[in-house]
Amino acid sequence: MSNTPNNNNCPNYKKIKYILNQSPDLLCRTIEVAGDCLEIVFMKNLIKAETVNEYVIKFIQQLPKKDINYSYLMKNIPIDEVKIDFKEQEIISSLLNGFVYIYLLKENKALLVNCANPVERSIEKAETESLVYGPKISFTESLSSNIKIIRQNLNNSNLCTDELEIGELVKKKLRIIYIKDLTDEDILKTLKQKLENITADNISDSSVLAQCLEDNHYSFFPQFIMTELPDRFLYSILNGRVGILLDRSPVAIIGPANFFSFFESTEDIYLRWSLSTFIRFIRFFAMAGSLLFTAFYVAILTYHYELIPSKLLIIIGQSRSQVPFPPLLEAILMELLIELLREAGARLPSKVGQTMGIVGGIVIGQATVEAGLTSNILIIIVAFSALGAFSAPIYEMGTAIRIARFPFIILAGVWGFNGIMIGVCVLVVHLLKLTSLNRPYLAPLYPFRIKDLKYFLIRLPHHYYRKRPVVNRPLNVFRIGWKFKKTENDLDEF
Amino acid sequence: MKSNISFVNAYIAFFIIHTSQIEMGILGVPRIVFLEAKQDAWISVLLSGLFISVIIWMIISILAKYENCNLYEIHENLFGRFIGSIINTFMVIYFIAALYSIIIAYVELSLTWGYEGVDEWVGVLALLLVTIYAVSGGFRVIAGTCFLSFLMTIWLLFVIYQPLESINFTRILPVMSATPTQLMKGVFKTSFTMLGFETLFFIFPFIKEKKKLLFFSQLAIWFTTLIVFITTVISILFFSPKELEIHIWPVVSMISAVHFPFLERFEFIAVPLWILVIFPNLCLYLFISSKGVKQIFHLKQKHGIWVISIIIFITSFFVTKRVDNNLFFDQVGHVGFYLWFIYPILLYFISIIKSKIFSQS
Repeated sequence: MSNTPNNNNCPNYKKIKYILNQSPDLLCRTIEVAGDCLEIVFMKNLIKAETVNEYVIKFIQQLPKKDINYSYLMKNIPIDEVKIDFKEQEIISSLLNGFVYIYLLKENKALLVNCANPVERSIEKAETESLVYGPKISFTESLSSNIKIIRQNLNNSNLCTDELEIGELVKKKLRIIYIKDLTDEDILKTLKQKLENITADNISDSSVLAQCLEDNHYSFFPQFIMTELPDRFLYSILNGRVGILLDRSPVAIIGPANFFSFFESTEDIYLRWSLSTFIRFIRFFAMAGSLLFTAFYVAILTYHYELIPSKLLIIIGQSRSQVPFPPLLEAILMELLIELLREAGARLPSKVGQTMGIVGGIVIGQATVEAGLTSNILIIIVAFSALGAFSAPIYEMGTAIRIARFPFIILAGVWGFNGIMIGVCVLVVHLLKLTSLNRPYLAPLYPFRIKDLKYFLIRLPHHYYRKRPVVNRPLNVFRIGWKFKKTENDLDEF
Repeated sequence: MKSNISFVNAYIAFFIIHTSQIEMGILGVPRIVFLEAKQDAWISVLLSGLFISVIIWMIISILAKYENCNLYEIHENLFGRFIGSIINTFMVIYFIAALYSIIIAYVELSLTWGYEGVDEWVGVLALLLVTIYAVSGGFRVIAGTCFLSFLMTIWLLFVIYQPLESINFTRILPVMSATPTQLMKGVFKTSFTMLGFETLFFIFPFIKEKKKLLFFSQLAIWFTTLIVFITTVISILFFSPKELEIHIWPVVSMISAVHFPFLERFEFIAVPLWILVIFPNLCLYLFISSKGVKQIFHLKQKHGIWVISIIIFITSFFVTKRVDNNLFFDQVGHVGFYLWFIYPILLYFISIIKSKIFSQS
């Protein structure tokens, strides 16, 4: 027996079985060839049976006698991923990841070959973020296929995918994805620092990871963009952001995020600039309206009915004449009702979902008005604000707006427009205080970067986008290389 | 000493100085100046702009001598720790009083327009809590509130196009009928409104490009002067002299004339919006006064803002009548005038003399 350093580190089948708590999945195939004995150990459900049969067992059996030794096997086994130098702990984790452990009894040496058969679903259309235009492919739960998608779409040698492992009890792989020479080092350093500080038994999803990474844990507002669109992911990476992919999670994390990036959709780039600018303004308006309209209704009817022109006041007065509640209670009731409808709609099986939508929306809405529990105007306002909150391209931002609406309604009920204004002050200060990976959240607005407004507030024709947005501090600001050619002919020339 | 200080760009100084000048005063300034200088009030406004412009230049040259120092530190530097602390205490008291006067003036205004019967302390408490929340974010957040509050309220300027339709140009004639004494009294009264540029003394260490500061602060005070000038002129043209004398807040009364097809009584929107206008002032004054407390007593600023707020909250129970308020505002205005119009000139010469003495020895 040779005394290699590997010697003591190679357990046999019995020892592995003991370490794995006598798991019934652990199988061992012993092959005896010409006096030598080989143990082929693997976990039954984690390996691809054909691969093991065809390229491990059959391959070894067909070998001539002289070739059955460690060094030959190591060099010639027809499998792409082979591990040779490893520690005992790594054997177990590799076995659990679908590796096959080949142990040569006589030589007391072993090697690991990859025959993993991970559970994967096929790549499908995105569900939560739907696009009219543009690529519709979405991330899946498998990290390797996500990496595949990204690599295929961005075939640049500077695309870095740093691997990390996170979680104590359940170890999960994590990839930090960025483009070298483009992403700011400080952002990367902050992110890696934060990742190192996380200790958890199990990070169950990337959304949990995003919450762990946030700078302010008590805020309503999401501080990272969560997306399942590779398209959006790549757009952000190319603008100097950093992306994180977690194994077993179909949602990618992008940071640093700023407030306005939650209102941009990749579709805005595909559509013509005029339309996408218009749509973006609609989104902002919808958000502001969703946040404040119900509060305005409450404030006006409780304190400032003088504000409304008399003709409109008559309409509102008539529709409210039978309502027995003060406006505050009425509004909160209706808002809660519509939240209930939304929640029930999300939980219901899709077959009855539509029916319940009709029951909830039409029947309950109509009935509450007819019963005199609420006014028609309020139903319109509440429906508008519910719709408005869903216009955010990132679902989490819509959720934040929906929740932030309630304090505003209560403030309006307590102190009218002054209350709303106090609320606006708090909101503005809060947004000013927020940071994402130590970058200001309200970025192109404050600190004010006028050249970045064309990215976050409006869209312009593409030849204006010669430089990357500076809010992410990209190291390389150059972006699009073609020049816009102005016609030099005069009007009467051809 | 100041390693982890947060720097802001020089142009932010424009927003800080401008927003700290525009506060409750502008709502009432046309009347106050009109009482002194009659239809020539606008001349007083322009003169006081000129006056401030000179003072800003002096302030900048004082500050340039002491790099990265605020006024409190300059005082300790000039007069020594003990006398400096006494002057600083006086300043802190002034800033607390100014903060208090803004809060109480706003609450009074809001109670008049739409909230009769609400207790004053509710408003005071709400404003104080919001301010504490903002100031606890540090200077970066305060500068941000100045900037955003400017963006969110500057459009109010365009609302006065509606009163423009019913103005009478003959009311401003004859020009130059006021005596120089009347004009100077007008300047004196305008200065109460224009106060706020003194924040320059305290934001100086936070500004990145100090050479551009003079330009932006001059821009800020001239912009303020322009706004005060416009409101004064329009008020004079809009109201008859008798009317102008009885409206305590002529600007708000003027805004009542504004209405849109979907909105009547626009002043009910404008008055709550004024919270956004005074908000940067509240933040700045709380920040500056707590900074002073830190300088004098070595009390941490995050505790200082609470102490000051509690003092203001308790005081708000005592001064409630209109007459008391008026007296109080006048006193604060007077002190402010001597403190920021006369004292910087004095300080300028003291610093020159002192530096000469030092250079000789």
